[in-house]
Amino acid sequence: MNILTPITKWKAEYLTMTEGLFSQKLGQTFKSGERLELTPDQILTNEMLAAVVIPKMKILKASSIHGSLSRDSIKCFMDHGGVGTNTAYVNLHQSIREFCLKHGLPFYEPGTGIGHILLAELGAVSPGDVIMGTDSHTTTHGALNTFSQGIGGSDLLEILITGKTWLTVPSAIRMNLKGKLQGYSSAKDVALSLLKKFGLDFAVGYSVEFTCPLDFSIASRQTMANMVAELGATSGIFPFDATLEQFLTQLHLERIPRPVTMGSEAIYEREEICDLTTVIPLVAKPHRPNNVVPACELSDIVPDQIYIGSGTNSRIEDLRVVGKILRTNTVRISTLISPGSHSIFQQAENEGLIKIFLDAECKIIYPGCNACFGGSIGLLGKGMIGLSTTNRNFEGRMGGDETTNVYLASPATAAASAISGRIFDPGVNQ
Amino acid sequence: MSNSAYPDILSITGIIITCGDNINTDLIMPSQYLDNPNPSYFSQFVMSGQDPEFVNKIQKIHGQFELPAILVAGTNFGSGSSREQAPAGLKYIGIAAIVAESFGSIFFRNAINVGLPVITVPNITKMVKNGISVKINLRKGFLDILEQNSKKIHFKPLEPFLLRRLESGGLIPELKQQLKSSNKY
Repeated sequence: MNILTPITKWKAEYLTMTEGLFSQKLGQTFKSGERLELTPDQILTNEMLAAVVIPKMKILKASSIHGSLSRDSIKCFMDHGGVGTNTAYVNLHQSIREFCLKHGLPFYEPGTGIGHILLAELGAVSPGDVIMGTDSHTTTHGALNTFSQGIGGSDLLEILITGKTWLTVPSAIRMNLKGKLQGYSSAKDVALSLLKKFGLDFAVGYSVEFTCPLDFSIASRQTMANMVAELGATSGIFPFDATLEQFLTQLHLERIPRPVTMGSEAIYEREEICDLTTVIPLVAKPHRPNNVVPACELSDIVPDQIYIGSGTNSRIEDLRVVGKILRTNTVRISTLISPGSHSIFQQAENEGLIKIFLDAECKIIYPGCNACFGGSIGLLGKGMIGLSTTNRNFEGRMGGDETTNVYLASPATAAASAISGRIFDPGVNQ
Repeated sequence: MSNSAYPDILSITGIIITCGDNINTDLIMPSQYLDNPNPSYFSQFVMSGQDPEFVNKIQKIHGQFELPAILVAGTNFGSGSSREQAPAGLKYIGIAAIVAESFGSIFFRNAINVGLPVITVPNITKMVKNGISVKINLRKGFLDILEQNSKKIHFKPLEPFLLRRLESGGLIPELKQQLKSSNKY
């Protein structure tokens, strides 16, 4: 693989991955706490364009996007508002379609997939990149050795008009993932175990830099990097290793990788170890992602609906686990499965997974945020119980109100629960 | 009411109203009210996920003291979703500033962009209580508790470019000025 290794003018051994990445990008040393101005390598946006950017550009009478910005670096994914699910969103989508056409921005139709899944599939995430997106789960892309941060709608407006925005180089927390996941335990359970142990404000204002074994898959890293947002982190970064290199060879990357590594003398605010071997299937109870207990303790909970999807858990690896558990079984709870993108959907079809899901009487939903955001298909009502592979279970997030109870779990736990008719530990024989 | 009623946005006197840790944006601005982008609409529901009486309490403070409210929060205020309506709604109902032990990073950016001052002060929830009046000087970086023998709490002031943005009233007025001056030539 072609990799750029620039001559460094700074002592990389003293820098965290985060500091090293900004130093490399801007050509001078940047340490944590410093504020800087930059143009992100890649920008991800969604319906936020119509909610904030388009009306404000009208207010400003700004008719064009800054000349320095590559149009391909601004990708607009219509993932939150469903496919023609309600008129308000249809109108929003149409106004964004027109905006993208006018300004020459890549537009991804509703139903194509979740932005955080598509962006990597498209080859728009390359090691060493700074990625900003108008969505809090933009952190997902840190799985590919990038610095990826969520921003607000006005931040995007600033980038579109001035070509730049600001950020603070965060201090870093080092999180060493060691050992090997056992049985049906997955990255989702690891994320839930960290939330249980450290809480929602563990990493507020920090970048979480992971080390992990080579067999910790890219999909697992994407699930973890997605969930660092729940730990309060600004970003999460995984290392560049042989596993990532192999993954990237299957993609047509838009930029040549510029991998960053942890400096051997880098100063970390805090260092923690998580032993993957001891992680068991976990579930977050309502209404916080850190309200975590072992799945086996919740066998008296009977969900009204199970949702398997979201930027956290709808990759082919997730669907394969679900297929393995659902094979030759029939679900006892209404179960919705939403593959993360069109190509994952197709891959699932090619692998015979869609047939397994249909035979198990699941409902297959087009790719999108759907129930995760509570914007379209899969909403819950008052007093209902949902079990979901998504990332947040705040009051009313998936529809309904504070009487609506959402439990968060891995795809394996969701599938095992679907066939047993109650929340069920996938590692236990049914 | 909006902050424009107060001439110097970088020097604020107000009455404290407190809330806890980890107040996320779904509690500040529940998603079911986001389909209408008009702040006069969605602001009616600010903090309704946390305290349905919140908007009334802020109005009461305005009525009783003729001062704006200053929200004091614990850690991780504004965590969760990237919705800008969260700080926009708080500003619209008359919160003049938020002092928190820490902020969700996107909320912090959004607040500056909508022209709502946000100040990070460790342990602030242990130093003040509901209903007392304080004076904040954003430029110099201190918070004066006007009761309790005028105790002064220092904090690191925001960078000048962020103070400028706040002074302009947020990103939009700042960009407006920039675009105006660049069009002259």
